[in-house]
Amino acid sequence: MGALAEASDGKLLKLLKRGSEDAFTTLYRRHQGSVYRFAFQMSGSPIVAEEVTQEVFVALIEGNHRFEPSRGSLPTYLLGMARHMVLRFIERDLPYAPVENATGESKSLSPGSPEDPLAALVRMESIRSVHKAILSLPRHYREAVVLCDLNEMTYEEAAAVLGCSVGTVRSRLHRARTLLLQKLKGEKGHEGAGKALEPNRCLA
Amino acid sequence: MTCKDFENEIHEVVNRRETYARQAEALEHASRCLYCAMRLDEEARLVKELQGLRKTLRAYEAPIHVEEALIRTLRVKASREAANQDLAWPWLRMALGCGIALVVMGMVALLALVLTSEDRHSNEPSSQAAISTPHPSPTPSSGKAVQPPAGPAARQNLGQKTLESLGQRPKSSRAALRHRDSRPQAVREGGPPKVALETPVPELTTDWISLGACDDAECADEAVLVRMTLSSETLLMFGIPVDSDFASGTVLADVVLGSDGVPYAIRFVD
Repeated sequence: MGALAEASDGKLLKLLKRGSEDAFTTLYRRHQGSVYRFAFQMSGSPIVAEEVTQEVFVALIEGNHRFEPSRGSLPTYLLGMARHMVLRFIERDLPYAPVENATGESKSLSPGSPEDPLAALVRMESIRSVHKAILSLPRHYREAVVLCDLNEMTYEEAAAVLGCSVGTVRSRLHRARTLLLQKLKGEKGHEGAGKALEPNRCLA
Repeated sequence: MTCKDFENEIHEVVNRRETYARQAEALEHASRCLYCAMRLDEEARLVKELQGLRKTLRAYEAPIHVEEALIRTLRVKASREAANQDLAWPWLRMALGCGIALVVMGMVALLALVLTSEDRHSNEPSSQAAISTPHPSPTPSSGKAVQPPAGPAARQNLGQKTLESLGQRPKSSRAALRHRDSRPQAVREGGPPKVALETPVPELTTDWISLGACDDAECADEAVLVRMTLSSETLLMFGIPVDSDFASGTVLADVVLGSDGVPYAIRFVD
């Protein structure tokens, strides 16, 4: 297991093909977080995130995948597979999912470090509203924000996952952030200060 | 830098402060433009909130039961594959064995076919040699007259044997005509040609002399050939000249007898 921890994804996949349990465990622990988080951020449902994670890795176990190392990295491929499954789940199941699961509010969004309780509460509220705003974005824009802003992917990596050009990712991200700001302004008191300061045209 | 450029590059300005080449130019523009300064502030706030959400979500991982379920799936798959291999091996071996057996059987059949044809080819010249061998005379060496057999069947067999040994057949005998196999009896039976082993004795005969028509099918079917010893005067009866010294002697003759004992043809043997 110790030697496998430093092995490449390609080598681990070969070992997995021969039925190595250790190789699978190493692969799973290396990539399950990003797959699960992506599915959760896209769907807002921990149940959907679990299902998607399970299906992605079952496909890897069964060998029902077309991963080629020459065409991209394994994380990119796994996220692409997860994306397809999430979209399928969203189209099929989300209209019937319980509200708390759909928004992901049942999962506790707790602050990472101890701080002033009031500040933590405000911060948590802010994070929750951002998450809610992301989930309310149209699918294309949500994907761009989730991949680039929440998963810290480069434009190129996001383009590989989404199967589109880098320029498309950039424009989608720009539009998504604009929409996010609009939503957050509408929710909080952003618009009060914003409207007071917003000029009619550029003065420069 | 214009406001449009600033808007297009605002994400790089906020997210990649350290690496963005036009960072200073963008900030200088924001210090002169109130709208762009406000956009920069909004964008920075949004990025901060997204970073907070990212940090919060970073701890999110799939529950342990997902991993356990996947491990179970992997084990089931491994056991299924092992079972498939166990099932596949005996069938594979059986198929291989059947294939080998078929090939061996085919080779044996081919070999037998080749040997049979070779044997047939080797037998053909010897039979021809046997046929071309001069027929020995079935004449009894004692010189006594051959008595006609008692029964019709016995006489027929005797006649057929005689005809075969002489290599000729009477034209009036349909039974003899039906006997189309020209090969010697010994050859037909697959045994060695016994006739060829005996010392050939050349025999001179006259042509067949018809003694009367035999239109009855039954008499023709049951006609037999017998060799008889006749007096030399019989030659005179058929207009054959006889030496006076030899007038009191005997002569050998082949006679075709019908089933009723009536002779239909005769020839004289020297």
